[in-house]
Amino acid sequence: MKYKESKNFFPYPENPQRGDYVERVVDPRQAYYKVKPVNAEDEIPESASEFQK
Amino acid sequence: MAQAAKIQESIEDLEKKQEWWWIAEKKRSKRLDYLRKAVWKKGAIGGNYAPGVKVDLEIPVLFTQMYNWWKFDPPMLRRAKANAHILDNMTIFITDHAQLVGYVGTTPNTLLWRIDGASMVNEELYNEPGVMPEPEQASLKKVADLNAAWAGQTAVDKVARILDPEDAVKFLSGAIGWGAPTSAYGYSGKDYEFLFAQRNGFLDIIEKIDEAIEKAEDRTMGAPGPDILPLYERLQNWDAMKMILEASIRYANRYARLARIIAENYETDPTRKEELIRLAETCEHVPAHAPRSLQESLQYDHFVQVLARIEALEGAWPARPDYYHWPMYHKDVNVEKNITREEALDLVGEFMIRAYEVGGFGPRWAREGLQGITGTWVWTLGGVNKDGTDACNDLTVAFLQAARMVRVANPTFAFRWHPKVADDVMREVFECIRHGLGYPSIRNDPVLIQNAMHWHGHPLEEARTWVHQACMSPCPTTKHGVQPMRMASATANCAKMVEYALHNGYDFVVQMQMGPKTGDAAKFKDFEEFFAAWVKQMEWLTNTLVRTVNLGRYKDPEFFGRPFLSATYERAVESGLDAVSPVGERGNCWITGFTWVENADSLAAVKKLVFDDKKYTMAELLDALRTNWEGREDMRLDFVKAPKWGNDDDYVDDIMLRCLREVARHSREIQCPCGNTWPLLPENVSGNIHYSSIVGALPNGRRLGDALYDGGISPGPGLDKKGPTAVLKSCGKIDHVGDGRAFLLNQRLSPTQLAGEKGYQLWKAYIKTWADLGLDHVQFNMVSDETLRAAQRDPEKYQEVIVRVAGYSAHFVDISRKTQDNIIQRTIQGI
Amino acid sequence: MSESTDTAWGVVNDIQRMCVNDGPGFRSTVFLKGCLLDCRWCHNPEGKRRFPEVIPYVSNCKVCGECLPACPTGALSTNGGGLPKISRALCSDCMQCAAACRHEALVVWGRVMSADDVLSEVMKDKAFYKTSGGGLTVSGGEPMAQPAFVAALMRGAKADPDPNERIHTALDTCGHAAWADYERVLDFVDLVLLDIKHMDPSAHKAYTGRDNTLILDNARKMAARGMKMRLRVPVIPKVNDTEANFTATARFAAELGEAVTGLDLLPYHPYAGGKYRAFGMEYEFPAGEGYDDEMLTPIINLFLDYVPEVTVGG
Repeated sequence: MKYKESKNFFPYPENPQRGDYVERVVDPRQAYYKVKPVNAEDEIPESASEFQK
Repeated sequence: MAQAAKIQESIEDLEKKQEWWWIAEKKRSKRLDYLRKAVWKKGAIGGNYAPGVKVDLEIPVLFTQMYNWWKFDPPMLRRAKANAHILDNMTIFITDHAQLVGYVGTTPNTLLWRIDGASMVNEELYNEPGVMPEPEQASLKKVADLNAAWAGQTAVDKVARILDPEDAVKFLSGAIGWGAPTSAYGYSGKDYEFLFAQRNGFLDIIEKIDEAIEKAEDRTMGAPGPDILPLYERLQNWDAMKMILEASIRYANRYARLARIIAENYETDPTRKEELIRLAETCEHVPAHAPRSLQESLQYDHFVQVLARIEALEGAWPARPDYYHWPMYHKDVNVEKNITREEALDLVGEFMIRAYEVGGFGPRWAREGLQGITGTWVWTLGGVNKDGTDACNDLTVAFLQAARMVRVANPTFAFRWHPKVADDVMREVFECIRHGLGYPSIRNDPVLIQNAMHWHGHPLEEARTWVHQACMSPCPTTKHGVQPMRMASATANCAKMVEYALHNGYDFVVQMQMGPKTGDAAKFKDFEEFFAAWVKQMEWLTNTLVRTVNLGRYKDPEFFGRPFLSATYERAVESGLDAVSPVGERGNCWITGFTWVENADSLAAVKKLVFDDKKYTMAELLDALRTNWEGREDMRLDFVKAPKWGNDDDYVDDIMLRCLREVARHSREIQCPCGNTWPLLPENVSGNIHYSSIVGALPNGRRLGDALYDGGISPGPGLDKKGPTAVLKSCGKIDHVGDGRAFLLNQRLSPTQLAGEKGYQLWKAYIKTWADLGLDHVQFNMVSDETLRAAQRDPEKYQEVIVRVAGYSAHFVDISRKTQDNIIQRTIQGI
Repeated sequence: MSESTDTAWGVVNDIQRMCVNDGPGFRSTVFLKGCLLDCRWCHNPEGKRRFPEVIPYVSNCKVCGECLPACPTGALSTNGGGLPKISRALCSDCMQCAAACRHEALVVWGRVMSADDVLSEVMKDKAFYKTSGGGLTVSGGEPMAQPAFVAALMRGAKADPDPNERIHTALDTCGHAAWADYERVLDFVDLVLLDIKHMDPSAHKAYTGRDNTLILDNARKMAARGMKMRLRVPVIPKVNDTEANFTATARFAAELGEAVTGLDLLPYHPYAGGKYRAFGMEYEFPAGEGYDDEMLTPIINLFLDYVPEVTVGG
């Protein structure tokens, strides 16, 4: 699945080819939302949205 | 006349049992409780990081990519581009219930790895178990590739290549000092006057930079001549500063955007939605503009700290939060009543937790020296205003209260005490100590203001702004006073001074000729000859360290470059020079002296037993030392029993003063890159443990491997037999203005003796006496409950606790002290 | 009366600095050797006998046996574990065994010192006395076993021609000495810390070796003389911790009137057990945590009806 197909992808108004990909993480101590800039057309990697141990 | 002595509430019950952790949990808000427990501790215990803590690899990869791309740029510009790339692309996060944001890593459990500082740290990282993110193999490959790209190119590599080879070998031997002479592993003060007192946001600074650029370009487009040539580089530096400020504003806006996305798409709780919107508004306003509220003020400060750290790690955290955030606190809580005091406490407590959260990967020896924390972050509270009036305020109290609620190991506080501090503030300070926090340490403000003026010539008003640069040394927060690069590597293992004086400059532990040949000690005719040798070794050791550190500082703009720090320094914005350049700084250097007291104790023992009493010859002593006292336990005990510092005994105290005054004299003969002095500051972090296998046997009775003394001018553990009053009186003989930079003194207290109102009044009286004696520092640590209970069962085994009970003589415990081996002795002076 | 301090000598066990429970502020407490009672729970047993003596410190003993041949009278022997013990009946106090021991397992307790020596040690902490309202406390054992020495110390503390340099003095006493001896001392004493161990005369005798008649009498005389007093009431399990005894004590305190500025409950504390063990002696009272707040609160409340202030621990 491409980022742009995900409901967690939020394109930049000034450049819709890039945007924020938001993930929710619950680690052993806390819960948080994290985000990084991605290209709309890139494939979402398998490891996304899993907590990085 | 009957009063009820009622003990009903469970919090009071807990207080009596001194279960401080549980009290903190009960008293703090749900939010603070969550955030405190949410934090990933980054400090290492026993040298190892906690399970689950990982090194972040995103930042080094982003940095390296962009840094290598711009390889022909001058250092500041190159770094600005690389760091801007990090800020634009790194993963950021917002923790649930948080009101403040900003972190040096990509997820809450990551450590920052500054790859461009020192190759030896990079190599250690590769071999460090447990810190590689999953999948481990892929991470190891990444680290190996990065290390290969940086091999020989880190700041320390570059410095080492131009150091005198002899200096390099001796410095890197680890015997005479520690630290790495680069910004990457140093720490900087912040020009809080520029940012907060003058209310400059980043856009305001960019405006000033634009003006400076315009002026400079007028000249570079004008008449040719030598005076315009330096401006070209400065124009590039200004570009770099502007670039990183703009990137920083974008970085803050990324948080705002994320907060809004969460509020609009994910968060269902209406209160939390409101908080997220407020968070977004905060991050849209600061750091671009000066703050308008307490939340913005704290967020601005935290952003500055995080951004400076992403640039250069930073091992300390100079700050004066009650002073610089007071205007917004006052406005929000007292004047406009926008938030309640409880809401303010939530922000203040979280501000401390955000600082606690910060951590970077450090080499093992540093981790061992800093048990459980990742740097020595000492925030400065109290003190006076520029006009000399009391600066303590509601926010001072709020920080002290918040500290007891969140109970973080870092930051700690140091309190600038002066004679006019109000009683209610003193009580709050006392409560923190009584709660077993181990802080605030108490600083004698009038003495230290004088000290800052004496050693470095800071004008009175600037001296009054002083903050702790690290744990002990004062530094102003002003345009010409702020110190951009303090390196921990100006830290001397002072015990080597007397060791080398004994062994003709030879170090038997690392097995090489280190110091100059000051003569065969067996041939010294009198103590004065021996002392003269000591002076020469002292001069050699300090010179070697300072040469290295001076060079590191001088070359840092070329080998490292600090665009962000420069952008937040008024003098750098004005001049277009790197903030680290010595030009424009008055100078604020000092030599941290680990293992200092061992010198006086050893010299005194030699004077007494070899030269005065003639009980042993020097040859016999040297032989004993070189064989680690083997088979000579009785002789060693004689040297243990020789006069010791901390007992109000002039025999050894006079020698201590002589030693200090020799260093003070020499401090004026050596200069920092700004042309200023290098005074000595005796203290330890946990260096006494790290150096115990590096310092050899000494005439104070120590064997190779014994723990060294606790720190600063604290007497050796168990060697102060006359109680805390004698310690203060010994320390009071030192001139805390002229004899050195500052002098650390640790004292341990028994909590049962400090209970209640009586305990508080006694403590206040103690502080008054301490101040009357002219001391500049004291830090109180409390005996743990566990130790107290064990001491009740077996008091003869627990010399750590000298019991004070009505009509009870605890003298019998003293008797067993001398023959206790292999226990780290710590004297608890139960007052 | 002008006894010069430089001819006053006494036997001293310890000068303990930074005491906070022996009167107000920070104090130096001078523990004199010798006692006039023989309390079963004594927490300074090294203070019972009047003159310098050797007491074993068994924790340090390395069982080397080098002390045994040094004893000329056979007073020194070892127990089953090889640890030293001294028969007081046979011991001639020659101190040779202590000289022979290289491990501090046989220790001489009690040092002969002049009043000047003691006072110069005490005066070192003057800076702390001034800021905290502290000073000198003379204790023991029972200091009034050496009344001339106590007089010299107290007089010396007050001897400075500048009144600001004189220090506060407290006398920590069980009250069982001749009134004539107290009269020599009290002119120079600011505060008396007086033990009231038991109000019942026969119980007092059973637990301390003497009844309390002289003690209570002296207390009344001190009050009549206008002395400031704090009563020190040890709380010892199964000895004096009954409501009846506390009530009687409280009534006595009220009888003394304004002289009594406060009362300190001194609960039995577990540290003494360690000292006895170190000396190779048996302590009949249990190790453990002593009294907790729940147990002490009713006692505090009882006394508060009769005296203006009650502390636990002094």
